Order: sequence, then structure tokens, then C-alpha cells
Amino acid sequence: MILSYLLMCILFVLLGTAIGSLLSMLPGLHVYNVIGFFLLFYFTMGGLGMDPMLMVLMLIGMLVSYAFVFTIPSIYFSAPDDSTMFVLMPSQRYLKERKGHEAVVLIATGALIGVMAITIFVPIFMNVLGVIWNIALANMHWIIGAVIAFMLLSEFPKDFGRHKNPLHGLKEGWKTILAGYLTFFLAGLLGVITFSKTLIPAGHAFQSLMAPLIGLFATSSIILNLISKYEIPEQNIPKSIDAKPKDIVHGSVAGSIGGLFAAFIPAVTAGVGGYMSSHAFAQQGDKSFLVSMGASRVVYYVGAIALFFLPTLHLRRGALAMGINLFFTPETVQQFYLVDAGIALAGIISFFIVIYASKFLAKTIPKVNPKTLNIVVLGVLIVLVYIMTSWVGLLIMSVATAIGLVPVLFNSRRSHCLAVILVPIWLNMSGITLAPLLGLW
Amino acid sequence: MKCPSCGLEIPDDSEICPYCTANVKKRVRIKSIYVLALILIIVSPTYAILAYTSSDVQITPIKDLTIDDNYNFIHVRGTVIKYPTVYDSNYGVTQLGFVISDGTGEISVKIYRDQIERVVKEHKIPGIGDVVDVEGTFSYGSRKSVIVNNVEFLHVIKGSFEHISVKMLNDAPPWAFKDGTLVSIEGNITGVREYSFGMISTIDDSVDLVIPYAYTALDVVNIKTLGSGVAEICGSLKLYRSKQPTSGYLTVNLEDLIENPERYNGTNVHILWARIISKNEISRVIKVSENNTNITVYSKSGVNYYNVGDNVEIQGKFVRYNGTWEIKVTKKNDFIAEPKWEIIMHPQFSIIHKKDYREGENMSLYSLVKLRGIVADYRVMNSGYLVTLWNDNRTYSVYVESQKNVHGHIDYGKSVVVMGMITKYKSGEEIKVRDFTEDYLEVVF
Repeated sequence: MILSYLLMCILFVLLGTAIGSLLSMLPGLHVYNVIGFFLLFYFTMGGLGMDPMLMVLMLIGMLVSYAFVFTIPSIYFSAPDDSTMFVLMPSQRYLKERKGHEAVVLIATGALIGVMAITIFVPIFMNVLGVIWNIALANMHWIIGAVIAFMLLSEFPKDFGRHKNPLHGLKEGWKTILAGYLTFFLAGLLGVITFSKTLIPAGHAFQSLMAPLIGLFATSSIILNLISKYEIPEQNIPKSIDAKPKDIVHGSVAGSIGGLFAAFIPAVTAGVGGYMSSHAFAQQGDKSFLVSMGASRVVYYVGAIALFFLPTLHLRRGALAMGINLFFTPETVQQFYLVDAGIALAGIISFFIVIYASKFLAKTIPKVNPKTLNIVVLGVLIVLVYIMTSWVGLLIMSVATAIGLVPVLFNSRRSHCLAVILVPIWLNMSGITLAPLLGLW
Repeated sequence: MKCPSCGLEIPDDSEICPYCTANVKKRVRIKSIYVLALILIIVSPTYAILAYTSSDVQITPIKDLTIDDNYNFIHVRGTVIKYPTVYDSNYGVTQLGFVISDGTGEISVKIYRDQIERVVKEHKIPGIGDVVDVEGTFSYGSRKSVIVNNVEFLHVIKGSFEHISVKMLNDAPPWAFKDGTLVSIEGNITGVREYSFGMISTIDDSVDLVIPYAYTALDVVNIKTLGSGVAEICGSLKLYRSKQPTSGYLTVNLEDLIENPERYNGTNVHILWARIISKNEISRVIKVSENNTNITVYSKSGVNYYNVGDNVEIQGKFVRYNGTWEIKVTKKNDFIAEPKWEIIMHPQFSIIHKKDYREGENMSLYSLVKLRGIVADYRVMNSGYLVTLWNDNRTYSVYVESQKNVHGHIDYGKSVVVMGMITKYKSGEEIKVRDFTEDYLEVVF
């Protein structure tokens, strides 16, 4: 390898990080939507005559920065995606307690440690990971089924306190649980329809999940903010965070393991992985949970690409790995080194971008009318969905928003919305086809 | 004092903030997290240095590659022994492959999808005889293959081409060159025929040029350009034998045969190389000569196909017939064949003298002409037409290689325009409308 090539690689990582950071600030815009367009452009232009490795590094820069920077719209604009949805509640509490920046620092710290886990520990344990993968591969549908069972059963038990009479107690107890299951069923059905039939224009088929995900997680949160009297107080920018080193270590380990689990298992996203591991590690308190969610998210998104380049494994998981595999096949140890160097570089830069962007927003956001902010964010989401998926996408988004509001109104878990991905993939891996029964084929 | 988390005023002795419940005493400084980030500042350059200094994968002899190496990243180097082939579908060329040998074994090199575009763009399509250094994923199947996923790992080392003339090649005996010798040759494309493996063009009516389909499919060789003038063409030599010598025949030279006829009487002999000096189609004999020693050869199936001046290889029985020693070609394994050196083209050529179609000028051999005339006669051949054209009180013989090169419906008395090349035909000349070139015959009215 010549030095100028190495410098070009660094340049493309920086370019990807810059593009990814800018676009990730837009609420609702998932990095995979953007990468889809980049790949489309790349293929249309015949590879742009560039070395594919440079394109790979640019996309990795975008992915890493997204994993870090999407914390900003999730917390300050209340527009989460499927993985930041879990941090919405604690981070909004932080925001209301004037500690929005502290929440961002906690998540970013987890993310930073997540990058370390990927770049330092994953290569060390690569042989072990290979063995685990071979075992998991044969049992994938059972594992996803177990994840679904965990999500459904975690709704029990509920503490509803005292009631007027036993019948009222029974009704109140089951109302929340049934609302959760209704959400799961509806989201699962929406997922089966989305995965089985391309409703949006064929040219945008790779964006077909955009509308359901934005509807279930982002727009429903914004509508909730609009109907509740939601206000953002003046934010404090602390010099220290309310956490002990033990909380950070505990959260990071749990999050990294959860993220790695999600990176391994199809349909399991960072949020679910982190959430399950936080249960497994008996995590308590928002601080540790926020750190774990930051770590889980980064390990899930970025770990998938590291596993793809990992010698002996080359695991193709996640949309970016699949997208890259359309024009590039990882082969050499040298490529793995380059990818890890790129991940670490993009990680450091993204970390500081998140911190400074959060400082800026912590000062700016309270000056903005929250209602105006929410309407603007909702407008941005609607425009994005319309541009990328046409009016059909808007229709799907509306249905998804309605489903996303069910758990909010009945105080059940919003994680049931993840059935939109879990159910169709689980059915697919189990060899069950529902599409003909629903008249979709 | 102020709560370090929410910034609200709280009592000085508070341990927990009454507003946000944050612990005021036991906290982690944000700057100490920045120090944590320093670890990544070390990790990133470390990996960059590792990438920069990581040594290349060592070359493996092809014979040492086994099923244990399946899907491993390997490095092999060898000489191309079979010309590139492509898999062409409705989606265009989706696979390019060629075979290399390092002396210990053979391996197919395969390139797919967008990498094919890069191979073309970076002029990395090899020809037979080129040395190829390749790194890629090994696949162990019915035959060994290496898949090149990144053209960066494909290096084609072009050999040097020895310049030869058409005449030199035409007169060269089978032992004059080795198969695979890299040559460059100057000449005109005088005919083009299409086959499943590609095209066979004729250079100056005498040397066959094999153009692998891969080159035309990937548009690295354009027949229109190639046929537009005198071209310098690069390729590798291959001895074409329509018949392979069989066992049970004694290879001898004519001199030895004629000097010791009794010793070889009744022997099945194999003459490697002799020139036809005369022929008699009625008595089905040709007279061949080698180093001024002549002998008569009788062929049961006739000698119409052969021309005086051709070089032939003979297998037959040496006998005495009517008091004269001769070779009889009558049995199953007997033959008279014309071994010829042909050129397997490399994707390199240049036009050293571009020609234009000229009307009404001197029609010299291999010039491009434009001729108007009336169809005096025409015959439909297997794939084309043989047309006799009347113009300016004389007739011209026009051979159209493919019917697709005729624009309009050809018939007696029709006025046509011919764009073609003057080529040799038997002892005379004809205008040839070559397939795949700019040549055509147009029926005007």
C-alpha cells in the first residue's frame, strides 16, 4: 500500500463522517435511506471510476456518524428511530429537568465505548464469534421467536395498585396488556404487508421501511408532544455528569453485548438488544440505561460492518453490509485494518460533533417554541417521506402513526411496535408465508 | 450553590439535587471522558499503520491449492493459456474468465459484475501468453478457480511482441515457432466469419486471426475500426491442424524416402511439411516437394481443394504404382492436411494506415472501393451472395459475406452501390463486402 492511498482512505472517511453528521441532524432521515441513494448514484455512474474501498470507507464514515449524531434529533426534536425509541422516555425526562446535554453526553459516552469494543475486543474474540455464529445460524428462527416471546411476556406483571372492585382491577390490568398485544399484532401485520408487497413506487422500493418506521416511532412521538403540553426549559451545560464510573462500565458492557447480539441476529435491532441485555445485567437507573443504549446502538450498526470485514467470519448482516456486498467483497486483513482505522477515526470525530452540537442546541432549543419546533419537525418528516416514497408512503406513515399512538394512549410498551420488523423476518426464517393468505401475492 | 446537572440554585450542603435528583458529589468529569476518547486516537493510527505495513499474501503454487483453501484469499501467478471468455446475458456481460498456468497446474480466473467494467477501463484484459498476477477468493469445485473481487489485485504483465510479416508466417513450417509465441503482424482484414467462440478474420487473404468473443463483447476490439485500414495486430501464435497425426505412421523426410524406397516400401509414412508444386484433378494426384525432392501423392477423395503453392502434411502408405514410387492416401487414418499458423488476437491493435472508400479510382489489391453497377447475375450462398456486377462495359465479381450486409431486395437488373474491399480470389480479384465492417451492398432502385 502506498502512502497516498492511505491518505485518500482517511480523506474519504472524513468526507463520509461530514456528510453523515450533517444528514443525521435531520429528524427521521435514517442513514440507510441516504446510503440507498448513494449506492444508486454509485452504480448509475458506473462506480465513478474510483477504488471501491474508498466508497466503502465513505459509507462507513456515514454510518458511524449516524450512530452517534442521531442522538441529537432523538433527544432535542423527540423524533426517535427504532433503536433510539427506548431512550425517548428517560431522555425526555432529562430534557425536562434541564439536563438534555447530560443525556447526550451519557449516550455519546456509551457510543464511544461501543466503538472501542468494536475496534479492540471484536478482533480479539473473532474466533469465538465465528463459533457462536455457526451455532446461532442453525437456530436463528428459535432465537427470534424467543426475543418475541420476551417482548410479549415482559408486559407482565403490572402493578396497578388498588381498585374500586376486583372487576375494575381486572379490566385495568388487562387493558394495558391487551393494548400492547394489539400494537404488536397491528405492527406485525403492517410489517408482513410491507415486506411482502412493494406498495410504494418500484423505483424507491429500497425505502419501503422508511414510512412505517417513521410513523411508528417518530411521528407518533411528535403528535404526542403536540397534544400534551410539552415545554423545553432552559438547559444547563454541565462540566461533569451525574454518574459513577461503575454506572458507565456497567452500561457499556451491557449495551455492547446487547448491540453485538442485535448485530448477530436478524430483525433484532439495537434497541431490543440493549433492552434485553439491560434486563440480563440487572441494570438500574436511567444513567446506566442511557450509556447502554449509546453503546448498543453503535455496536449494532457499526459492529455489523466490522463483522462483515472480520477475517474468518465475513458476516453479512445489516443493510450497509448487504449494500457494500453489491460491489465489494471483503477479503484481506489489510482491508479489515483499514475499516477498523476508519471506524475509530469516524468515532472520535463523531463523538466531538455530538458533544458540540448538543451544547449548541442546549442553548438554542429553549428559545424555540416547542409547538413550532414539533410542527417544523413533523413537516420535515412529511416532506421526506413524500419525496422518498410518494403519497402512498404518506398513507402508510399515517397508518403506522395510528398504530404507534396505541401504546402511548394505553400506557403500554412502545417496543411492541418493533413487531413491524421482528414478525415478518421471524416468519420468513421459520418458513411460514402469510402473504398468499392475505392476498398479497 | 448551583446543581452541576440542572444548574438550579440548591442548598450548599446538598448531596442530592432536590429538583433533578442528581448526585452533586459523586460525579464523572466530562473532560475525563475526553481522555477516554484518546484511546481511539491511538487505536485509529495503529490500525492505519498495520494496514500500511501489512505484508502481501505470498504466492501459492497452483498444485498446492486444495479444498482446505476453499474461500481463502490466495495469491497466484501464471501465464494465460486460454483466451478470455465471457458469459453474456440480457443484462450484458456478467462474467469474464480466463485460464492461467504456473507450470504446476491450471486455475480459472473469474471476474464478475462491475469489476468487469474496471478491468476494461484499466486495460487489464489479458491475452494468451501474458503473465497474470492475481489475488482473490479461491473456489474449489470441478476445477480450481480464483474470483477477483477487486481489480486492484489483478496485474497483467504484457509480453513483448515479435514483429513478423504475413508471408513469413504463411511459409513457416510447424517447427518454426512455439505455440503461444507473441507476435505482431501488419495487414488488412479481408474477411470475417462469426463462430460461437468469436470471429475468425483473414489477414491479407492468407493468415487466420481468431478474435475471442470476449474482446468484441466488451468492445475492446471493434471490427469496424480493425477493418478500416492497414492494422498492426498483436496476438499469440497457435498451430492449427485440421487433422492430428496418429500412431502407426513413421515420420520421415522426402529425401530419405526417395533415396531408400525399398526400405520404406509398404510403410505407413508421415510427411510433416511439403509444398504442392503441381496437381491433376482428374487423376487425383498432387506432386509435392521438400528440399528439391519430389513425390507424387494420390488421394482417393480428390485434390480439388488444394492449390499449387500450399504447404501440406501427409499421412499415407508409401507404395510403388505403375513403376513410380508414390504415397497413397486411401485409408481412414490417411490424410492430406494444411497445418497453418494462426493468430489468437490480443486486445491490442492500431490502425497504421486508414483507408477511405474511393469511387472510380485505381482498384488495387486491398483498397476500399465504392462501385455502382447493375446486377447481371447473383447467386445465394450459404450465408451471403455472389453477385456479378455490370459497370462501365465490364463485369465485377462481388462476394457479400453475410446477407445482413445487403440493404434492399437484390434482383437481376437492379442498380446497386457496393462498398467493399478488393481481395484475392483464386487467380483473380473480387470485391468483398466483409461482415461486421463498414462494407455493404445497397440496392438503389
